[in-house]
Amino acid sequence: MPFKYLVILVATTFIFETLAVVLALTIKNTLLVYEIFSFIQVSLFCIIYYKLFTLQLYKKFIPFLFVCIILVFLYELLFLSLAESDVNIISRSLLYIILALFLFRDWLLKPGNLNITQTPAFWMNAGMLFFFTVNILFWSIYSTKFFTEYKLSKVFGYLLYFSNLIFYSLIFLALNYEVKLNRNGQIGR
Amino acid sequence: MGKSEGSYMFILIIVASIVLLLLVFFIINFILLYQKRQQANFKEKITMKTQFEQELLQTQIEIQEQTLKTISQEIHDNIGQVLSLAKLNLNTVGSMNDTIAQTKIDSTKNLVSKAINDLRDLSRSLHGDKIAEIGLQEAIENELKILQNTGQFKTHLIITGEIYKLDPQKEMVLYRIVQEALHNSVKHAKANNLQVQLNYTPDALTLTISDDGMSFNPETLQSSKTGIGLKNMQNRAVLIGGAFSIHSSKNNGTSISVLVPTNFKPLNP
Repeated sequence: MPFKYLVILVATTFIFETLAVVLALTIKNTLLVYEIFSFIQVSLFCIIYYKLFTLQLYKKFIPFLFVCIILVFLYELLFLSLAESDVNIISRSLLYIILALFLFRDWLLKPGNLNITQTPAFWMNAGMLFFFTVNILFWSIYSTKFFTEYKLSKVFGYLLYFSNLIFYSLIFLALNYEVKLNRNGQIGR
Repeated sequence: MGKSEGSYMFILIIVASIVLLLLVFFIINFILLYQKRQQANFKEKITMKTQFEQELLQTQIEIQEQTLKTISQEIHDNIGQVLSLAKLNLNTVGSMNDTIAQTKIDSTKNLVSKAINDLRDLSRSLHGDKIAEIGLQEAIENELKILQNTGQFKTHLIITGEIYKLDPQKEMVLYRIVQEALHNSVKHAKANNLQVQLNYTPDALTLTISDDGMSFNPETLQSSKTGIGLKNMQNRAVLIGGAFSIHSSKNNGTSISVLVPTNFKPLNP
């Protein structure tokens, strides 16, 4: 059941974000925490999508994408300054967008019996597509001269705040549908 | 906020709005497309289900027709003859001395008992839902018994593995395949030995019907009546998720195999 992993992911996010806040206040360095969290997040999302895909071709594609991301992580760790690099988050976002689009395609090729808007995975996937598209927008501008020159941190801060709010609302909606489906004895996507 | 700063901000808001609008458009478009495909899929399933039901009905009719044919033949060739002989015996009893008459009466008793037994077997064949009622093995056993009773064929039923019940629909289709194959062996192949083998494994049931009759080339039979029968068997095997194969060689007769996986679920009518 992939939603078991989604719950683990939400819990892990909460733990690591709390830890990051504590570290930011004490040793003022959260990079390591976020690096570890990134790895856990990628692994869990890969598992979730692996279980959600019905087409073998897409399932086979996941280990390949996972290895690519790990290589990006290693490249960043070895050759780039972690404090300045956004490669990790942009590549992760790209991976999630690719997985979300693959899943939409998978559903189109193998439509199920349930109304798609009442299936938990649909809302999770829509949330993923939305949140990580916004993330790419944000992080691709974040390190540029444009960002500091026009003091966009406040506006983008709001953007990230609301996109997080929408993303976690959609995740909550997905989990809620999952509980409903389980209660009715139906199997969701 | 300066003029250029404001215009950059404006462009940024426009770009972000376009991206978000595209996302919303994508999601809505996806939902519409998904519903369209879902409906097409649903219609296809309905069509398949109707075809499946029709095919099952046709199978049932063919089983009944074949059973009636066998019974009519059996009554004419076997029971009718036995009873005629019994009548003949009884007609001649009056003019015989007691010892010979007693022998004739005993022989007549045996003939009548045989006729009763044959009728009992036939009545089992007439039972409407016999496969669901008695199971595939017994139904095949009865079919072989009737052929064996004619005295023209030697029949064998070999069962290996631990027996389990398949869906009634699957068993009915398999039974019809056995009937058709045996009919072909008797009518076209002029076989003397007929063998049906059921091999039960946890994953699949393999049904093999073999004879020692005349061989043929399955590919050249496509247009003939027997060829249509073979095609029907193949189609029905596919209908229940089975794999159909046929082998025919000059010295080894013909063997028809159907492998039915146990986890395949046919569309329930």
